[in-house]
Amino acid sequence: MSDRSRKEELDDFWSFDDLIPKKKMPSSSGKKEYGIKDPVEIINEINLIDNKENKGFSDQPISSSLSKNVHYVHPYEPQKRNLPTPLFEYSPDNSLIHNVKIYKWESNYNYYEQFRMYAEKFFSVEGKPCEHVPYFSYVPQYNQLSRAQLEFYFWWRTLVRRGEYIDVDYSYILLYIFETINLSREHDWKLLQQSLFDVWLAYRENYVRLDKLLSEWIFDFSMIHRLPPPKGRLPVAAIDKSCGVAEFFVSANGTNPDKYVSALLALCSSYDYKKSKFYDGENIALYDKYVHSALRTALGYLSEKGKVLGKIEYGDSKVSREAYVGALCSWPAKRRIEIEFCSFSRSHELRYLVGDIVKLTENMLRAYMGVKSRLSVYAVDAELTEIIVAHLKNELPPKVRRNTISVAQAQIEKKYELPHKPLSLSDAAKIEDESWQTTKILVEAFEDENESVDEKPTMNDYVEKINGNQEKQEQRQDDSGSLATSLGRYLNYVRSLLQNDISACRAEIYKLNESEETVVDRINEICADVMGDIIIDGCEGSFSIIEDYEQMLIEELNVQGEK
Amino acid sequence: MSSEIKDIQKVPKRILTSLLASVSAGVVPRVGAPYIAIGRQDEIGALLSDLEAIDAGGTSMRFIIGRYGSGKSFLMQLIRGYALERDFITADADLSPERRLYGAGGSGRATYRELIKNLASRSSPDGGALSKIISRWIDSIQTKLINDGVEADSPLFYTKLNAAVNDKLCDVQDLVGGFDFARVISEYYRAYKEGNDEKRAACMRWLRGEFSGKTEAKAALGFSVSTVVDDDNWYDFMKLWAVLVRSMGYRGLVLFIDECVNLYKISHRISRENNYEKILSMFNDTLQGRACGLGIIFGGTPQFLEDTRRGLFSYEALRSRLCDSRFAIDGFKNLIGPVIRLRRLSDDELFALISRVTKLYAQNYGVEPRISDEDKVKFLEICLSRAGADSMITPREMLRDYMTVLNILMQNENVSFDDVVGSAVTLKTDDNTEKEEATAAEKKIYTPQDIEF
Repeated sequence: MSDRSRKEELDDFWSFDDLIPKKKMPSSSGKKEYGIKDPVEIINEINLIDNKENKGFSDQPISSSLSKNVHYVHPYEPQKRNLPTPLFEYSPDNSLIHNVKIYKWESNYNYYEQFRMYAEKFFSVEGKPCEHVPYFSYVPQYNQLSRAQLEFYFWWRTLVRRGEYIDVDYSYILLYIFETINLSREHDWKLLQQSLFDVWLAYRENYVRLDKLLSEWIFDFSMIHRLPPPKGRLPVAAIDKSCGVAEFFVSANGTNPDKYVSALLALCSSYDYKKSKFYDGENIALYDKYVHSALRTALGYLSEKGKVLGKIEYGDSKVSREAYVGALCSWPAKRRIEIEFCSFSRSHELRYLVGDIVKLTENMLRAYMGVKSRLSVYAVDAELTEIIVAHLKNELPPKVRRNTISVAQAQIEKKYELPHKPLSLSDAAKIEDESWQTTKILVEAFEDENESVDEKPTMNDYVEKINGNQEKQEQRQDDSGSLATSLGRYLNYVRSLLQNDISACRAEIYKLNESEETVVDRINEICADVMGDIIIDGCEGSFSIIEDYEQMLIEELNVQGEK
Repeated sequence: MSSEIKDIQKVPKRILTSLLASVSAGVVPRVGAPYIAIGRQDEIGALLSDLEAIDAGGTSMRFIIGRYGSGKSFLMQLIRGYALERDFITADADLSPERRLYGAGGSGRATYRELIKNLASRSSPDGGALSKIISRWIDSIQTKLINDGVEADSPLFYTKLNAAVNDKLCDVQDLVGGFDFARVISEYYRAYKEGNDEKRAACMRWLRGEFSGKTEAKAALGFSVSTVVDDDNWYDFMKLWAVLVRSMGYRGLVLFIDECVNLYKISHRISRENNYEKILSMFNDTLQGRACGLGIIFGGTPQFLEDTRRGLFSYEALRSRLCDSRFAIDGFKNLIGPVIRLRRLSDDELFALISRVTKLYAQNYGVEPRISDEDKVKFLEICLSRAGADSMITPREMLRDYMTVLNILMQNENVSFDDVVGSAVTLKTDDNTEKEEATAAEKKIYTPQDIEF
């Protein structure tokens, strides 16, 4: 095939030539030209407009001929968005939630329609007693159930409606919840809400995830069906802090501050008193009682016209949320909810106020316990501070001067106490006599050549030895009168030292062929044996006889002359 | 003089003077303590048996625990004196904020330096015995060679002397830091023979732990060493000393570490636990027999031992080793364990102590004090009647006051015991004043109102 025919056959799709931008050929001079290519006429003189004749401006609109060359920037005109209208809007009787708007879910879908139909269909089915059949599904639906499972589900649902809660798989519970929230005909919504709440309470210990799911879904259910919070004692711990609608469960009927206290402490406080280092031991009861009491008192002060926290002005938060997130929810039941409420997490004023009330209470408790350190309190005004302080002063029990020694310490001290015994002169004399024995043991050194390795001498052994060796001791004392004899070859050195004759001392050292320190050491040892004490003191090069023994040695060693 | 004095050994005058001076000043006597050792027989017996174990090549560690003024330091001085008499080498140190068992700022080394400074032997009981014991050891080796027939002037003498010294140091080289230790001792001896005082002083400084780094040590010694005494290894050097003194012929090395409450007072928890870790290491070494011939005695307060938040019992490893067995019941003494608890002296023991001091006073001054047993009882009652005396009375305060009374009585012959003690104690009240005036009138003592012209 020729090239031409090939070209004809190829379509333009593969032709890139048209697509590649054509390169501009450089000018022959090689210089780049910038700016305007056409020459511009330079006007040297500018003719000023004569304002007398001309107005300087024309109040005539610019003609269309000129408008072709003049570009205008049109002023911005915000386009009105087509906002959806809520299905309905209302203000619940709730001190924290002030306005609710319910919107239809915008994007429709129909893949849960069958489930919704079955939910309506099976709503009034009564179950019959049957055995438990295990069931698991991530998104439980009726069409997944076998006959036996369905029968068990109905039986379990019947029990739940009666208020009996047997052990059941998590998937059955989810099925029940999905069934409830997808009902679309008229039902007793209050009863259904209460049923969901009771299921939550009954199974939340076994299935912890229910805390997160049902706290959100029950809120959505309540808002959509204009219901107040369900009745029942819900532990504050059940409301996850990550739950964005904790305020709904906190504020029931806003006249009783007591209901608020625990929730506020758990959810809306900048300071957790349970993390205080003094919250331990016997102080726990003290803290729990008086922090609640003080906060209750503060809420009473801050309430106005039956509205808890009515005196506080805090801005509402506006939140738009999708209903039944994570649940199997058909489009007719799906809603978007907009609420305006006082948010614990978003309202810093309330959070810091509650936190500082707790801190103020802790400061009072610390003073009561005798702890000197204090927490800083900023958000509580003087009037409220006075009220809380006065309340706690009345409520706190009188300070009991605690014995600073705790029980454990008392037990330790007991080991070092003596039983009381009146003074007895005879016992004292006996003790002193026995102590002389101790003195003898401690003062005298024994020769242990007859001791065997295995025998460990005891205190009594020492006493017996003293009595046995006493005779030897007396004999030694008689012999020791001749100190000169004991000193032996060191005698001349001692004499020279007594006479302060340094050269003679050195000569003796040389004769003895030992260092002076060694000689002094040996002399002191001999005298310690004989006299019980050393006689030479000092360091190398400056040894001297101890003054107390000079005269005695001069007499005993017959040293002639005095110093 | 009474016949009792004849039964005891006559107290050397220097010791007696020093003893009474210490008692008058209210400090623990460093000499003569055995002469006023009243009671504590069981505790003393237990500690003496520890010394026997050390003598046999074993080890021991004791904690003497008692309140302030209960006699811990006194008991430690007693045992120290006994150990010196029996040819042990002792070293003692009082802990303080600057001297600890472990510390990054040289406080561990400061403890070592204090111990070595206070190294004592029988012939140097007041400390500073380091150079003496080394000199004596070298001389003893020389004497042995001479007795074996080697001429002192012959060249063979020095060869044999070197060999003997190295042989003695072999035992030390196997231990941690032993090689450098043996090298320095060996160089010390060589410098001693050559008369090189500068090198001798440098070796002595190394042994005392006065060098802060190897570079400084090398510059002074003239040879390089791989280690110097520092905060981490000072205890290893004490173990080396224990081995060396035994090879020198002594019975062993006994360390007395008092005022351990200063460890309890360390506010920084990590620092405090590092010190307790050191005690644990010492405890394990001694009780497992890894420190031959070494005894360690700690003195501390009950809080130092038993406080579960800051004391030794806060450190679980030490608590499990030192706490009482569950079978230890109050009222039963157990002195086999590492902890010796000291209660205060009983009233009888305090009276015996006063009587003893009276006798020693009489012996020292050669006069019989004008004080009867009834006076002593009265004095004791006055001391014990003070508020809190039943638990807080300390013998040193009582003895200090008693010595004052004896001194006054000796120097003022017209004054009686009642005059000295009664006037110091009796509160002047209106009733007393009236009574005094009435008594004065009866005795026909002239008062200013009585004077007639």
